[in-house]
Amino acid sequence: MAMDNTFEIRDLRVSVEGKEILKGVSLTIRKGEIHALMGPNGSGKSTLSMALMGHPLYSVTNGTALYKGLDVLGLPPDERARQGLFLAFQYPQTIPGLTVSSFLRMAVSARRGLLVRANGDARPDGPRRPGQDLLPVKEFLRELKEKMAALKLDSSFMSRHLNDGFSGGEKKRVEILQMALLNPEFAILDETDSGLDIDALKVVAEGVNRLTGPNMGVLLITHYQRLLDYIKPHVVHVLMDGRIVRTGGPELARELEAQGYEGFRPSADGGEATHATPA
Amino acid sequence: MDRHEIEAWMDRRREPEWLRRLRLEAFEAYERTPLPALQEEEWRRTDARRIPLGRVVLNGFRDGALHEEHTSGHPAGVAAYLESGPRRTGAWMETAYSKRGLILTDMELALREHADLMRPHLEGSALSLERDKFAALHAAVWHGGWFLRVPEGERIEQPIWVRSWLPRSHRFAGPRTLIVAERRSRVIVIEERESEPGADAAFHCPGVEIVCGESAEVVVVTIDRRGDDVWDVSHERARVGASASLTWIVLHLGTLARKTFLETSLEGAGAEARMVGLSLLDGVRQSDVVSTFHHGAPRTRGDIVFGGVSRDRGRSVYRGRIVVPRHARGTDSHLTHRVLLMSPDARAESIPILEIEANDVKCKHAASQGAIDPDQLFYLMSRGLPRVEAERTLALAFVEDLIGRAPAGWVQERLRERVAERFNR
Repeated sequence: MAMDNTFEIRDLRVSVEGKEILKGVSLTIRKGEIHALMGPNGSGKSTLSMALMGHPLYSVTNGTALYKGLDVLGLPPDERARQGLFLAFQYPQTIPGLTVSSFLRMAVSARRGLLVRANGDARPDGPRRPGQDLLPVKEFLRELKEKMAALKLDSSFMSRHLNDGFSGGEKKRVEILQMALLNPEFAILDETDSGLDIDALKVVAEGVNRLTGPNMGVLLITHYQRLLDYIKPHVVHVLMDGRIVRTGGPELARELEAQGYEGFRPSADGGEATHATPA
Repeated sequence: MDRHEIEAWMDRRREPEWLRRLRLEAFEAYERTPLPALQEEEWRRTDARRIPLGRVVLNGFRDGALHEEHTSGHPAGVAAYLESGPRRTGAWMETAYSKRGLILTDMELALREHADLMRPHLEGSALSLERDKFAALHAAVWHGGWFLRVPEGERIEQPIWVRSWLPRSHRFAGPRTLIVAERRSRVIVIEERESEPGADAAFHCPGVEIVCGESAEVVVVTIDRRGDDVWDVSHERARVGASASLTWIVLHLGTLARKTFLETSLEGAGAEARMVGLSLLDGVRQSDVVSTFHHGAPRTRGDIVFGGVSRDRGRSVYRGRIVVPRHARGTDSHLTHRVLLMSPDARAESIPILEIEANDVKCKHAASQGAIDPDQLFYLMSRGLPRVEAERTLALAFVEDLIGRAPAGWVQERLRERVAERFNR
């Protein structure tokens, strides 16, 4: 079905604690495309990523996000993930006591439909024995080791607790590792470049480039143009004050780099700045 | 139950005179001691009048007709194994250890064969009759339980495993456990307590004594997964000699309501004790634990981490007491209590009590309680884990932080397995 190949956000409005942050965002991503979403601090970039993934603090007041004929905004976060949506977090959570490998084994099993029944409930009805709904250990470990090697993550990370004591670069690589294992259809990467030195940035960018292809659509959220030196977007959007004010090709990112965000700010009457709409 | 009944029971058990005397003294204490009142500090949260004392009967516990069956099969990776209960008993031990004097046996059998070794510990019992009515009751009518003796200098690398089991016919039980680790010995012992649930409430009143001789290194792990119909009042006490170290791990998975006293006396200079406690409460189950670290000598160290996870209407009270008298210079003692509340109806209370008379001591306590972190929950759900699974995963992660303090390998695996079983019910 044609609709399976697009992720279509229409007129999305989102409030956080009563304050409207996104004021009508529309955006369509096709599989195989990489879209960059750029904008200054406070423009609503992370709000968009959190709302699309379904964080309960971000209330959607209007709009739809259609995918496979479903409005994902009506689904709980876990169901969105199992449908193939993925968010690489700007600030991944630290969970002491949960090892990277047992977490990933559960996540992969959920994504592949082993952990969950069709109606979304945890399986099965009765008592479950540890491991019974999970991907077999051997198979999982083989896959995990392969993907970790590709991201230059030492295999000792498997038995470490999730993000506990990890450096910024390690956390971001573990996010990309999750993306590699979960094999999403649409991925949102929220400031995956922030806090990375140049070597870590290259590793992460290589990882993303390896994963993207005709079967995945990507929304790359970034503050700086730097990441776009390593991951080439097809489309660039500029988000200012909760609205997309410009959409263009990769050249738009260079334009931003040269003149900063100020020139893109909409004027007080709600229209766009004069030079923001080329004749 | 009266004095004549107890005497007749002791006759049937053919108990030695010194033990008969101890029991009768204890029975007198039991009769003259009133039930603890709610005004008493340690009993404020547990109404002793609700404890089914009417269940107390003098059970036949293989009286007179003792026999020991040797299990043909035994668990792999253990130095010795004991299955202990009123109907059957099974035991197995690595031959090399039995030749060198390691003893692990059923209490009734131990009274016949090793009374000389046990007598000094039973006569000078650290389980004080004066503590409360239930301590006196236990001392009067205890039966069943087991005895472990690790001879001087014996270092046992593999764990010793004990399973104590009570059938549904036993609505009262008062088992006594005595663990004696002699000087410079080393041992890891893990006990699993189980009971078969019956139609009505059961009452258990166990007593545990752990004696760690000078420079001994002892790990005691108790996994309590008795039935959810059990009212339990238990008195458990450890004495730690000079330069000895005790690691005491207590995992509470069963019982309907418990009042547990865990006392650690650091009696010799340089003694060390670590305690890790964890209770999982669900349904309407409740737990009231009092732990005491008594620093009775110079330069002793104590570290307690007690944790709990409460679901449904589970309720816990934890009272952690640290006592440092004037002469206990150089004491270093830490107390931490952490609770995860998984439902709005779950409750936890934390009461630290520091009684410090000495100078030059380090003493710290910390307590925290709270619900599941919503951002952590969202993170796991964003990876496809259904809410129930994500909550369970976070609770297990919370628990893992405690389990990680137990000896690695067999013991940790066992603890994990038992916790997961309870969570998955």
